[in-house]
Amino acid sequence: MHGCFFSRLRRLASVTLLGGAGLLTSMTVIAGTLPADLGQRLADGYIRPATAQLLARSSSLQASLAPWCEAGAPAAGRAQIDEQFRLLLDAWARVEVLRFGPLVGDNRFERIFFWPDARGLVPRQMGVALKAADPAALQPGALRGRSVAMQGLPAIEFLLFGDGADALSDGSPASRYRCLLAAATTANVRDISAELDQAWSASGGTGRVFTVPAADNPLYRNTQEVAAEAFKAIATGIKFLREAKLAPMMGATADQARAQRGTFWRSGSTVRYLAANVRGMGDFYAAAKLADSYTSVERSADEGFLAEVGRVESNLRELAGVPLDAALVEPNRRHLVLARLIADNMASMINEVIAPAFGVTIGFNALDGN
Amino acid sequence: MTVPTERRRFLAAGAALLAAPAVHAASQALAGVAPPDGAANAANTRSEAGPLYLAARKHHDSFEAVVLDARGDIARKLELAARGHSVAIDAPRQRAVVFGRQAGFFATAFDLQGRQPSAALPLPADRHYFGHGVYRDDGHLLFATENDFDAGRGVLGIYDASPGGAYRRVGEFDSAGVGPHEVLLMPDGRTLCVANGGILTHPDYGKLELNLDSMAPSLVYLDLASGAVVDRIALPAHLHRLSIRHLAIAADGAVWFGMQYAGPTADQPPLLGRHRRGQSAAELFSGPPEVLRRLRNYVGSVAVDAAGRVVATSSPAGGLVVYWDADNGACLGTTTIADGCGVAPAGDGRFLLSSGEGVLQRSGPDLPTTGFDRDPSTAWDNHFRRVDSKKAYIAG
Repeated sequence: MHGCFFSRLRRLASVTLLGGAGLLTSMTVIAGTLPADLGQRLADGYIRPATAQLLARSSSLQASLAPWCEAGAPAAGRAQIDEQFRLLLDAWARVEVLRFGPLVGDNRFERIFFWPDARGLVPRQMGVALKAADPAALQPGALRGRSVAMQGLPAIEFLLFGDGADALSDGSPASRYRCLLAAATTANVRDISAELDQAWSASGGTGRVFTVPAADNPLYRNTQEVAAEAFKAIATGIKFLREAKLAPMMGATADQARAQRGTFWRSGSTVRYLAANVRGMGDFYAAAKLADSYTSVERSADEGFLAEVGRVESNLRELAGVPLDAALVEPNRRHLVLARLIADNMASMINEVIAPAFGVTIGFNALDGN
Repeated sequence: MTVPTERRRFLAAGAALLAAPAVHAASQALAGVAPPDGAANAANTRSEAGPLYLAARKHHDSFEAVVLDARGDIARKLELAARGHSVAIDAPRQRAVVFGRQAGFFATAFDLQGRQPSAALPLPADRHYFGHGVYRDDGHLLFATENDFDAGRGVLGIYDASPGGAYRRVGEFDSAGVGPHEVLLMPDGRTLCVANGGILTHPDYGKLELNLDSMAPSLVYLDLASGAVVDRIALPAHLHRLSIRHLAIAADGAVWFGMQYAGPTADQPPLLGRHRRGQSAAELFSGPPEVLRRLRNYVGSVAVDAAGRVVATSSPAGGLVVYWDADNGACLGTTTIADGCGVAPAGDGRFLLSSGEGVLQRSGPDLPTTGFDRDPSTAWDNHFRRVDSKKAYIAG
């Protein structure tokens, strides 16, 4: 079975990286010392810049879209809009990793990123909305109360790149509405981003508790609990990458691959998005600056993990400019296969080496809720 | 087939345990086929000596379902193609069905005494198991929680468990919700109680939650003969992300349910509820704030003790088992057990606990914890089940 094959390869990879299976058994015995300001490092070094960038890029796209739509979406301005949209996706790929705190509250994750859309709700609901062309939906704040499938990046992507988007510049009222709905949806993403930015600020709810763990802190009693949150977020991000983003689109074999399962396939952004996403996980981890906090035996895990992040990213970047259909079959497919295998190894390293090195265990049952 | 002797290390074995006969059934266990000479007799001796338990586990690199006694000695094991979850138990007829863990694509029927070969249940291509099931009292039917994943609809698959029925799938009931997880038979023998977790999943995306924004968990009672919904209990709207998943029935017939919260960590809603038939709403129990905090918004298994007066909930995420008074929902105490999830009755006010780190121990609200096995090569899965001929409905 290929599952066994992959796990064997994964084990081989671990051994290569860690220098010997013997190391693994000693890992859990000696706990490294976490930096006392871990939460502060993660917030200042990654979380706050990432949410600020999401806010800035959603604001820029919205600021460009509104006048462009009013002007009839001239073809000349199209490339700039597309690039701004992709920059916004790059920014979200980094925030997506932070699936705890404010991103989990108020359905913010799903409102920005309703995906995977296994039952095709986005095209279906957007189709209905475009047909209705209700001007009320364009009012500030109006989308907030609508279905989450209509509120975020997949909706914007559908409007700008999905079925019918090639007529966006035809000057018709329908196209004008479609364009303005994209602008309104972008404004909605901007507003949610502003909430995230505020929540993570020094005065915001999560920003305060995450950076100053204490006995009377309702969420994080000590640095180890901050670390557990961070490691769990990375582990969850890797799992999401492997199981939702890579495996379904790749299929078990090339003839079972389905490009339409790719993340943001409509705008042709899939591999770029995934590369930004894994880079985000690496940068989030690196923001903790843990290299000197490991015991000497485990230190290689720090560099090892970041090296794996780099390998996944470079395999994906190899496919930049290759249409997704072609990326999913040989000779390109091997880069995706490698990316997935190395992502497997990233998960093992976080769960079995890095988190335990700091006394954080992610158990057999706890890891896989049921 | 010879199975290697279990590697075990006794942590804190009591005198009685040390004095127990050193006949270990492990060396006689088999993988779902006819027992080697003597195994059936050994199993019979043991079932007279004490209750049997069933659990799924990972042992080295293999997934298994095992039958074991109260000392943790393995009487029998069944190799599984993938990770198992829970079992439906037909105690009077000494048989069970183990289900694959969600998204499960297998369920295997086997005889607790090894008298019959094991048999796979027929699963339609457009369904998967959620990991739980239950027999009807007379053992003629089996109900399994399943996902009609293309329609995003929960169902109970119905299988013919009668003699000669070969577990043919003879129909299904709508579970009146999404993501049905555990199902129990009510003490009346005529009603099924289903925990609709409310989480939409599709096997193409593993266990990924596809509807966190619109989750609507429910506790549903179905007429076992017709599948008609006879009662449906929902949680208050602000708790719509509180997934109802695991069930146990107390001595007074009340249904206790354990929940998992898919909302923000900071919310810390109650994770335990009780419903009595006829009541329009469930009661929810939080326990002391520090205990609730340590449960980490997650309850992975629920059990009642042999007397049906104490409820135990486990949280592998928090490494904690909490005991509750089945009369009033008061928190009676806790046991710390890293990655602990399996809980099964082991007497009045006593439970057997298992963990993903291979630990088996006995504990209870007023008892010191006695660890009696730790096998680092074993990871016990979510559920530990006692084979109890008097209370067939307890196993789900």
